[in-house]
Amino acid sequence: MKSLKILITLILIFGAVAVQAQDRYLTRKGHIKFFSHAPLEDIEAHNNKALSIVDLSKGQIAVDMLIKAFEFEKKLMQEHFNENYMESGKYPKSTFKGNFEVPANLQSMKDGTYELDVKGDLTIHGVTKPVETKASLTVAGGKLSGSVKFQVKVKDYKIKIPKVVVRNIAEDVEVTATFDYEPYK
Amino acid sequence: MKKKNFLIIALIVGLIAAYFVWDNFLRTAPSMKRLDAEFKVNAIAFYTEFEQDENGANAKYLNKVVEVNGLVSDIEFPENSKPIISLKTDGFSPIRCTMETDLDQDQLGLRLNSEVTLKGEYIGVLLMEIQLNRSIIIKP
Repeated sequence: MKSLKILITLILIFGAVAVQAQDRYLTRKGHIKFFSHAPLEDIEAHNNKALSIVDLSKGQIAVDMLIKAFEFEKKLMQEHFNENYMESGKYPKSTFKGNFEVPANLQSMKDGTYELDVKGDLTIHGVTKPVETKASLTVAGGKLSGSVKFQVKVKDYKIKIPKVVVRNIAEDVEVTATFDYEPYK
Repeated sequence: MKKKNFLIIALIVGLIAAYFVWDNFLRTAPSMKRLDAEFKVNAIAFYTEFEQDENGANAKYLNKVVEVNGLVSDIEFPENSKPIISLKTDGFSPIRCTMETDLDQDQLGLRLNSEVTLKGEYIGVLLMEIQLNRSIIIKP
C-alpha cells in the first residue's frame, strides 16, 4: 500500500514536470531581417542569433537580440548602422516583451497555424515604445514555430538619419522575424 | 603668382574635402587580423566568469577583442549570414562566434570536437549565450 502511494506521488510529480516543460519553448537561432526601401537603394540585414522564449501557459513571448549581430552585404553599411545610427556600442541590445491570448488548441499543441494579436514593449536604441502587431505561431508534428512582420518608425526610436543619406534609408523599416522553437526545460 | 596661390588653396581645400568624405563615408574598420586581443581566455573559464557575475563580465569585455580557445561543439552555415562556430562550455549554453568572412566547410578546416583558437569582438550575452562577432581562426 505504501509503495503504491509512493508510485502515485512519483507519477504526479513527473506528470507535473512534463506538463510544465511543454509550456515553454526556446530558440537561440531566431532569424530577424530588416528591410529598408528608399528611393536610392534597398538595404537589408540579417541576424541569425536572436533569442526567443514563448510561454504557452501564460501567453508570453520575449525576444532578445544583439544589434551588432546584424549582418549586411556591405561592410561599410554595417559599420554605419552600428556606429552612426544604432550606436550599438552604447545600446547593444534590442528587446521585445509581449502578451497574447492563447487559444486552447495552441496550448494543447494541436497542429495548425494560430493568428495572434500580440501587445508588448519594443526597445530599440535605448527607447521603449508600446507596440501591437499580428503574429502567428504554428504547430506541426509537435514542433512550434513563429513568425511576425511589422513596421518600425526610425524616428520613434530617436535614431537620427543624417540629411546626406536621407534618400538612402527609409523612414519606416520592415522587420520580419522567424523562430523555430524547441522545448525549454 | 595670384593664380598659383589660388591653385594651392584649391588643392588644399580639395584634399581636406576628400579626407572628410573618406573619414566619414568610405573608411572601414581595420580587419580582425590587424587588431590585438585585449584578453586571452579559455572557453570554459570565460563562461564561468559570466556565470559568477554576468554584469561585471559583460562590462569588462563589451566591444573588446577577445581570443578564446576551446572545443568546437557546432558549425552552422545560416542563409544570409557568415558561418557561426560554437565553442563548448561547462554550462547550458555555448559561446557562439560569427566569422568575419564567408568560408565554407573546407576553408574553415574545422571538425566537431577539434580544438580551435578564435579571435573576435565580444558583442554581448543573451541568456548566458556569449556572442562574438567578426571572428577569425588563429589556430585550427
